[in-house]
Amino acid sequence: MLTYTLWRIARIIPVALVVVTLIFLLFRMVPGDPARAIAGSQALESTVEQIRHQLGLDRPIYVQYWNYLKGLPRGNLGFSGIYQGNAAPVIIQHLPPTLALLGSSILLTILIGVPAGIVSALNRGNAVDYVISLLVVGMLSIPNFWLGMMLISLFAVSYHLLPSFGFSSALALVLPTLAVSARLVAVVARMTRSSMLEVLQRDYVRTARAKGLNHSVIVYKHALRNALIPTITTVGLQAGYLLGGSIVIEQLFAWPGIGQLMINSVGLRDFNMVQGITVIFSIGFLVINLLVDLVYAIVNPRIEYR
Amino acid sequence: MTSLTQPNEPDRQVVAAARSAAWRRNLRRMLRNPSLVTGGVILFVFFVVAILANVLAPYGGNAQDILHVLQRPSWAHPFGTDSIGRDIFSRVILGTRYSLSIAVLSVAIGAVIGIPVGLVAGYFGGRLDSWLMGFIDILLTIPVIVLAIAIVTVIGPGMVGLVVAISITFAPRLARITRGRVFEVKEEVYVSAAQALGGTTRRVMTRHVLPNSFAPLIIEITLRAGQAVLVGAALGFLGLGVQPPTPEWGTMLSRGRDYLQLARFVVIAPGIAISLLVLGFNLFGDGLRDIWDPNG
Amino acid sequence: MHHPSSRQPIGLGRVLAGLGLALVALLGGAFAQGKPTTITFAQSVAVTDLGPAYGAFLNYPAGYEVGYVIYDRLVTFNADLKIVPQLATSWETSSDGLTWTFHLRHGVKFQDGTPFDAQAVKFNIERMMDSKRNTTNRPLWDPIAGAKVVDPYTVQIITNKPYAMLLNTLAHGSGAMVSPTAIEKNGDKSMTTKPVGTGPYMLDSFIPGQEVVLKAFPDYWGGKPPVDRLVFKYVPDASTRVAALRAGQVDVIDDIPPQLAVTLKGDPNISLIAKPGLRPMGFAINTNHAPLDNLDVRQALNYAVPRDAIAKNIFLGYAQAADSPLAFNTFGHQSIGGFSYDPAKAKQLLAAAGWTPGPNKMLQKDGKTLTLSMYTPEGLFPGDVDVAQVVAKSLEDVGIKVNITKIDKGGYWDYLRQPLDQLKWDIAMFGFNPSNGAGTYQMDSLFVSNPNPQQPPVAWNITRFDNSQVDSLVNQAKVTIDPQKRADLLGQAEKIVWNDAPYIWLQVNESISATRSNVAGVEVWPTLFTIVRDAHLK
Repeated sequence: MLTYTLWRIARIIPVALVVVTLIFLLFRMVPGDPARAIAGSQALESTVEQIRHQLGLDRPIYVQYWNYLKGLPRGNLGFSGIYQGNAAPVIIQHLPPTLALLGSSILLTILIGVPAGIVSALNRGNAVDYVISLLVVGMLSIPNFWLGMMLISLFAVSYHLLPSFGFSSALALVLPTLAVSARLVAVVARMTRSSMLEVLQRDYVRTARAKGLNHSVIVYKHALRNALIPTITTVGLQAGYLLGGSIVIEQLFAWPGIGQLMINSVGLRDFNMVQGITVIFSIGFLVINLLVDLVYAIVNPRIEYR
Repeated sequence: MTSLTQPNEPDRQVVAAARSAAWRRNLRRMLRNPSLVTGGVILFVFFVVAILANVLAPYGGNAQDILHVLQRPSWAHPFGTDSIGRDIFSRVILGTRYSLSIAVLSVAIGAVIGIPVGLVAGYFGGRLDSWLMGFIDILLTIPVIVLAIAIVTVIGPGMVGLVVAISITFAPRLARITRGRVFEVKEEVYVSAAQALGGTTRRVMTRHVLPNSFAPLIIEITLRAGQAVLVGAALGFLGLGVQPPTPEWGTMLSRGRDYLQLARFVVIAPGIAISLLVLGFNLFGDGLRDIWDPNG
Repeated sequence: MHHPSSRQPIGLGRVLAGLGLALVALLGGAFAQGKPTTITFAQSVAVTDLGPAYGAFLNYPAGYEVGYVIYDRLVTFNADLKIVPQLATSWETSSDGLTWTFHLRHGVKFQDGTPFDAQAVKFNIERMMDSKRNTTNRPLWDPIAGAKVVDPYTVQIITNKPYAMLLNTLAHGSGAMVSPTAIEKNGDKSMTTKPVGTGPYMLDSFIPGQEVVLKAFPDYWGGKPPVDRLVFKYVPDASTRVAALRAGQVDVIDDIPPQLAVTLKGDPNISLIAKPGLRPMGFAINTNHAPLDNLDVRQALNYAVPRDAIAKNIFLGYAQAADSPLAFNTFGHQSIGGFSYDPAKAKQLLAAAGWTPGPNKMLQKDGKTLTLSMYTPEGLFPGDVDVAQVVAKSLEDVGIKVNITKIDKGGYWDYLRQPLDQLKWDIAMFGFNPSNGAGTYQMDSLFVSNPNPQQPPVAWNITRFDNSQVDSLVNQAKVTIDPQKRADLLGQAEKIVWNDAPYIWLQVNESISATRSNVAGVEVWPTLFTIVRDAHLK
């Protein structure tokens, strides 16, 4: 187990390296001159030169790349032209709201999605299953930003019930969380349902039934634990969607997280910042995948890992 | 299903009869699946609307009447008029073309790139497979929206950027699925038999492996098309995407944000349109999965 | 609370209750006293720089709005854009108009404790005259030759030629008086993050691009500032700003689009402030690019556009069609008008220039269709994308094909100010806001010819307009001190410019801000600034 963990952690590094390189190249291809855009239209040439130097754009590309790589282990994510300094502290400052949003989304997903899937599986074929499946496919089809707009329109504009701006209080989490997690709830419900169905037919469940154990005990102790494994995997797989979806939702709700920071930085032409945030997103994704795999390995001891 | 020897005439007829019976059975199974039928009907309607858009739209997509901005829905304008007096109903109908083309094009290009890669990786296995999958895993690390934003920022606004961005994010996923399926199919008897009979690699891949991998691929493509609609709309919502006055649904939603209080109807129709189209793809894909791959 | 005359012994319960109440009252009182009065202003543009030099105040108007609170100037504007004293209590001009003598206020301290005096004024003036340190607003500062200390409370400012707009420059955001001691101690660029002025509020904390928190300056020369804290937050999205104001999370917001303003009208908790702005909007025409070098064509463009209908309907009554290159209450404005909505006349003029309808009804000449490339930003100017689409359609209705390119607001300025051979647009949306309220500044920046048309314009003459008569009129106006004569000269220049149509003239928008009803003292200046310097809670 320990070797597996170490192996997985070690593997992140080359992957992260390639990701960082890809992102670096991608953002060097952006047309236009970021130094001039940041300096503003009326700046003198000397100011533009100055900013270009600050951003490191006056060096050849391999030098820029090497400097960038050198800076990463020291926590330097690039020089932000707007914040006039290392992008990393700014990004870290904007992390908590996003983490809060993601955390509450995952919580909501587990609290609603899993029970929904179980109920659906236990009622296979009848009206309850049908209704839940309908809701599920509906939630998978609605664009999350539109859902957000409708929620704002209903709960904040028409009826002043909930806040729709910024991270003002814990209550402000409600609407953005609903908007972000709708899709994930649907995916998890569906996944839980099918894995429950599969598990309920497995041999050991049949054996337990044959031995005469109480039905609920079978369901809640044996089937559930095994059904949750694919759920965990699903949540991990959907992490990419969560991260992406939060960007659009943060924009809609003026949520002060890294999604909004990214959109604002794109608008302000602060590409080093955008690059830094993309790196953070990707590393975050890698870490989530790693955690999911590790949890999976712990929970399901029957896995063979090479 | 593929015959391994050259059959003689009567056998051929028997096989042909059995095949058409199988087809009819499949068709009946399909028609009995509510998801497939509903999804199919929805998609059919959208495709028809897209093709006949110019005929169906009562006004042009850019016919402005600035003396009548923000009119509530009425007989003359079933979905109301927008901030410069354009008929929203017409714009939603015309917008079908953009959303459908973005979805279909992106998924098609993604398939054209991803499927061969997956085929090659799965068939040859070994080091080639490790390298390809490693690269794909890395591409998959960057969340779809983030990668799309980055690509559109680099390429610039417009349909081209959107389609490229979405295809690049889908190709790896399709490659992965193809490769997985190829692994399964490789173990099948008829493949080794075809190889034993001296088929070239390409022949074996295209004649035997690929046709038997179709099912999960088509399911995946259908579901991805739905997601492409969502990603395209999200990018339009963020302001990256088509140029005005193109009637794209996501862009219409983005411009309608400030009107939630004054004229909510401006954002209702495009949102429902997006949801319905994606629903169509989802239902159809689910239906296909029920029939072809119930354990997948 | 206690009743000593009562026969019953005072129960323990009552004592405890009484003590409890007393404690709550004490805490409540302390809490009420301890809680600072705060006014929060959600701005539409981010503040990234708090200093007046080095190309600062670029993020218009947010930086200026904070600057007007932290710093004082020798003179300042009131809500009607009239010049009033601030750090200078009175002034005279010499008879040749070249020397201005300012008498300074006594007992003024900078926020770092150092005194404000004539030496400080000289320091600041010389600093802003230096084109290496003050890289923008050059037309405002170039006419100034120097400053001289007469005595600690008297300073003279000398100009090369009679400079009518000197007071406007001194009242401008760049005329802010910063502490020389702070510059010497912290560096020439320190004002960016560590501003030190003489205004009623000083810096508490600053997160560039996000938030500025100011606290009351106890030694402010004007007495105790009205509140304890002023917070400026960057909230780029209009719907969000309005939602925040409604919810009471912020007290002041700016840049409200008309479609949101109308929904705030009936709300008793909210006060709307709408003031006609100084920024006429229009489409700058690339006058070098055929066929736009033809006057008939340019005038035709102006006849083809329904300016009035746009102002009234797209902006729901919060705008007025322009009738001059200057806005209605810019100093020197003269009503010229003309170019009524007349598509038939537009087609006539185009035909006179050789453009006739082709097979698909679009105009053609020598086999080429008349096609224009239109650039518009998104979210930079009021209703930009909507107006762009309406104008494009109007032009198409008279047979001109228009291709719209929408640029995000961050990169738009760059596209406007390219060298001539790299200009990608035929018409580009643009509006200039003379932040010192003066018509001469606007005419000078937009319509005085560029010394080198091939290069990016020195100011904002992006159309490459070039008329020697206008040049001489405006240059003369710059040195004419008498307001009436100056207005006259400007009026003549405006007439020539208007009729030469280097722009598709559009509308002047009202600048709409809003506050909670319990907030008073917020001013909206025609220069698009929302000034919270005197804001207080009722």
